[in-house]
Amino acid sequence: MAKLTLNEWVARLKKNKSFLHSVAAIVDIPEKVGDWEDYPSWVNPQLQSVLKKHGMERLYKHQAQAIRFIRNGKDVVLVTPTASGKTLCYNLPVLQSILEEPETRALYIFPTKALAQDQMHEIYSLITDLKADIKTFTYDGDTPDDARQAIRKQGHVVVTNPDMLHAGILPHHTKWQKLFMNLKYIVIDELHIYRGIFGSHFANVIRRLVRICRFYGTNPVFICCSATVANPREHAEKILEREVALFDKSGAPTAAKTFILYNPPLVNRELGIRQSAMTPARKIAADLIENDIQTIVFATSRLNVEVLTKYLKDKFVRTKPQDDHFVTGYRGGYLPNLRREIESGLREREVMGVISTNALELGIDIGNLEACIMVGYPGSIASTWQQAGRAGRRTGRSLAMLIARSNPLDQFIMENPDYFFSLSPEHCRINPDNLLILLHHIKSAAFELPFEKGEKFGGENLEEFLQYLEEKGVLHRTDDRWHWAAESYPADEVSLRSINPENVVVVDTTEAGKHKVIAEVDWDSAFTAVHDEAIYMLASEQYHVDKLDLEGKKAYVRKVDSNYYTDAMTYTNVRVIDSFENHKDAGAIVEHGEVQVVRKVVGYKKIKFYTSENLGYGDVNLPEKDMHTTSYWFTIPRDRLRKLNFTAAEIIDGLSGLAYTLHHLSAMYLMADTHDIDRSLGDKSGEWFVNQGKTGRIITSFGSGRPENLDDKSGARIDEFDPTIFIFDSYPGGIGFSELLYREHANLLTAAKSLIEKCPCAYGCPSCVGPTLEVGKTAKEIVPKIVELIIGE
Amino acid sequence: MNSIEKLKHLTGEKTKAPEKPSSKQVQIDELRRRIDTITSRRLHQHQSVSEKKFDADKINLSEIVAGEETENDHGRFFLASEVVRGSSRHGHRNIRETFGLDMKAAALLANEPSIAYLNSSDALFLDTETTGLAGGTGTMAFLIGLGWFEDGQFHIRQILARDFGEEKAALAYLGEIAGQKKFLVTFNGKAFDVNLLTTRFILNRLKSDLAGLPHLDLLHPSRRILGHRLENSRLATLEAEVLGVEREDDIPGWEIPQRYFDWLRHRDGRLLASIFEHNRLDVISMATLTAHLTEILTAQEFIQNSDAGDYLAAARLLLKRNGPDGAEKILSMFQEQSCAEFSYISKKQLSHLYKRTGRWREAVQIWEEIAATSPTDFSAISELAKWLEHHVRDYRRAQMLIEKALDQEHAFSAEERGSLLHRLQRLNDKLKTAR
Repeated sequence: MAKLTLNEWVARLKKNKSFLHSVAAIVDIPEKVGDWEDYPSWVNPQLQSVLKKHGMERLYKHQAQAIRFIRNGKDVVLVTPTASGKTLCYNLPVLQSILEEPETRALYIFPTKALAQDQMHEIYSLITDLKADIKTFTYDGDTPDDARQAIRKQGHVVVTNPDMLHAGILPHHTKWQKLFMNLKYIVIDELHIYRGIFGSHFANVIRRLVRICRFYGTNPVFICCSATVANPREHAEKILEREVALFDKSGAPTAAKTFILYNPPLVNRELGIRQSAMTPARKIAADLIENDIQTIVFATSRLNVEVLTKYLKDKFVRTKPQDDHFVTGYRGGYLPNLRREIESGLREREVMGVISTNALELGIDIGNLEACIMVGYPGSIASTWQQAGRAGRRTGRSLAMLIARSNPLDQFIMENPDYFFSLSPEHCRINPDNLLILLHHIKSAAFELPFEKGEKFGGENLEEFLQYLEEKGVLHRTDDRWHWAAESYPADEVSLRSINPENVVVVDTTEAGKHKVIAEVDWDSAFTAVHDEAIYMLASEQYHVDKLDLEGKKAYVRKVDSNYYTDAMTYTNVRVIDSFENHKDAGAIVEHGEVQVVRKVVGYKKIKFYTSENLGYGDVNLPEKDMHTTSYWFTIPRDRLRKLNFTAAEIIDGLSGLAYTLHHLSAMYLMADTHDIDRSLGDKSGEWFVNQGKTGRIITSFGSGRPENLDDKSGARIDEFDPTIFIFDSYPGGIGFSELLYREHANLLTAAKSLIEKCPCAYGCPSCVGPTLEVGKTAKEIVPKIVELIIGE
Repeated sequence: MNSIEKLKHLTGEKTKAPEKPSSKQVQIDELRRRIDTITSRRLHQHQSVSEKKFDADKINLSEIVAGEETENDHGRFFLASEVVRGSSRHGHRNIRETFGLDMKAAALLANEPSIAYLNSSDALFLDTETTGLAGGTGTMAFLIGLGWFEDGQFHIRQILARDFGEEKAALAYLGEIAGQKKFLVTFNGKAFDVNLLTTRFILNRLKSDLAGLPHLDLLHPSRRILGHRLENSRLATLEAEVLGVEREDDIPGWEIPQRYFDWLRHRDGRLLASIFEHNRLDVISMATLTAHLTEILTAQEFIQNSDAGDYLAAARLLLKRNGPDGAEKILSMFQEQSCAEFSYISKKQLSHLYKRTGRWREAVQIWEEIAATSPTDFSAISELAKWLEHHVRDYRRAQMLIEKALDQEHAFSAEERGSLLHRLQRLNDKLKTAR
């Protein structure tokens, strides 16, 4: 059979009626011509010729502009798509500077070791062609001891990651004197990854880095690269605490791209179960590869990668038996040599199909792939475009296809293609002044250099913190300086990915006498993830929690094969401590500020796999958790609610459904996990709260001073109070989410309404208002009316 | 609520009810208890300190440690000075015996040839006491102990930064002294002390060439030469087992950082006294240890308080650095000794040294002695067989030797048996062609 070109293949697909039936959207993005500029005159001629040899005859316009800004000492953030040559925007100025002044140093920060290695390889090949004496090294946990000294003294470009910078480099900065005294550039790649808790920590690591540069008398230029998000400049400026120039218009030419959102058909309408995304994925990938169309497939788990790889290898073993690499898997965990081999195989078109987890989303140029199939939504719009960007770099047409899985997030995207294709609503939010996080880094900073009176670190009153630490005995004040006065090493006491560094260790006791630690769960999640009797899942294995030892911080588990998973039930109540901002909308009072949250895990549901049936409940006896954090909330005056012709019970159902929807939408806007924020429905003054009990909704009333559970919804004195929906940060001290939600309030509600109205389910489902068992059958009908009330349509 | 109150709430610190003693009071009581335990220990024999309990009066440092406040361009610090007479005893030696070190031997111990051209008065002995072992920029060397030889005496200086603000002046003084000396002697200084001091110089924006000085770090040669008979290579162990130094009530190393932090808050001299003493003894021990090690390398005869194994280890070191001639003197010493009392391992090591330096007669003698008492000792049999085969060329005797050994059942491991058979085969072939 004759082979089709990609154009022909797409055309054929568009005529396939049964395929089209399940398509949620097809968008043809037109090709874009390139916008070029000549190399500026100051670029070293040898460097120019090497870059030309590597394919860059001229520079893209955005590259030329960016490097001009950088040369003038301005900090920049680049937000151009994959394959637009962002790497050149930093490698060129860095190499140029080193050629002009051989003692120049640069620091490259990447989020993962694999990415660091790939980038090192990239700059290394430029240097080799330049035949210049420029040394680049990665410096991370794997760097052998005897290599470390040489790297510190001689490395022109040092490539590292945030954890190494935090615990390995900054606290030993005197050993890096040569680097810091000559540091001209700091490159931060994948800036959008530094959000939430990780981002808040990272911003503080940068504060310490800048402080140390100041000690050595340098003021390096920051060059940041980010995926497309709604607020790249704001994000960069928040991390760097200085003005940053934004470059988001790419001058790189792109091929025409057909983008398809495909939703596998329903196989069980009642329960809402769809055909597995793997089925169309493998058929389509096989078809493309058979037509010699080079394809990359992204799957959301290692298991799925293995399954697809095996299927495709088996399929082609008959036609291409000699070639083991014709179709191959790819993982960040593969050794660098193997990864280089696969990448070169892709460039040479010896490898026609590659299946990967998101590792290749981060990585260097792999050549001219034509098609990209994503099996399951990668979790954010930014990630999806990064993956899709792997197909069709230069000419012709390219294809990107997102195949949805059954989970709510995927389904949301399918039902709301506008959300996906319009301007990104995804924001990167951080709170570098979270008190707990800030405190840790002030300690680390004091270890690195004593603090002097009048110094600033962060947005809080530094001297108060220093006095506090003095009282605690870790700092000692002499004249006007605070010195580190303890034996410990503060960088070891903090993990950059959590607020409370004390984790609960999960111990597998399946084999008697051979207990082993299989995971660590951070303290904040432990109560819901590993309470007694919970089913804990790790790498597709199930474990039953026999005992959670709170004092010893250990969870003892045993491997099981169960047909259900558990979902913890938490009673939450929220009390307002301070309101930072508020405004009155047509139908509600909207605010954000500081709250006190008390949460108690009271039990759990047993939920059957695949069908999501409820198999029963269990009790849990755990202490309350009390924390202060930040929240966004809005209150609806009860008079307005009365105007709707619903019973009090129905109104509560509706509000619960709305809270559920907003919770999930907020997580999407923030590119956060649904566990990073939480919701509560109650009364602003803290008199009563709605929680999910075993037999349905429970109203917990605090009116008499002590909590009182009222099972009878209609008896709830809801008519006497104004209901409030809270969406708060799950972490003590707040992570910076609530301010954004406050600003996006109207958009969130409009999106919620649209989502619910469009959802094809009958009465409600996990994709819109939540399982009907929790929100009742009328929720779906009521919520849109409530929203109309709030935003005043 | 201000930030700190919020912070305290977040970290779960609750405010206590007023009837409990204030935290400050609790701290002082705790400190009082600690000081009491300290002062109830007897201190250095030259200084008598009344054992009365801690009362409100602090004791000044200068009343308890022989030193005084000193000033230079960078500020003030506390300096304790001492001149140790040659006749003083430290362990097995008089201090006088540590003068006039053999510099070639010292260079060998340090693996640093330039030291051979220096004098022992060019040495700067250095040991620091620090606020922690973590390393990194947050650790300070609050006490720097120095020692050197001058005019027939051993001078000691102990530089104390009484507070963080005095560190710069203390380091500057160290820099001055180091500038007059030409090489360093430390114990584990290469990995720790010098790195730390270099970091402190940078943090205080002072220039220093400490890291560039030739450096004899006694840890490594001690391990090499004495490690075979000691359970670890700590200075304390070496002191006790080899140098014969006994310390009374020595402060354990792990207590030192906290002691200094307590001093910062309470400025009672008694807190630091034992640290000074500990540091002082460390410096003197390094001097006598250097003397001891160099003497082993240059020995003409077995000296007291040494072990045959020490000399063998030294011989191996000399062999490595200087080639076959290096171990001459030591091996001559052994030639005059009966090795009957040596341990098996020592005998083997000695025989190898003899072999490598061409002293076949002595080597064979040992192998024969070993074979006589243990007829199935693989290495002795092998070596004798090799010697007979390649040097004496008496294939017959070699053959008989191996056959006799192989006759013993269960005597050798499979590998050893294989090796002997292989050799036997070769001998048989040679004997055949000879006919």
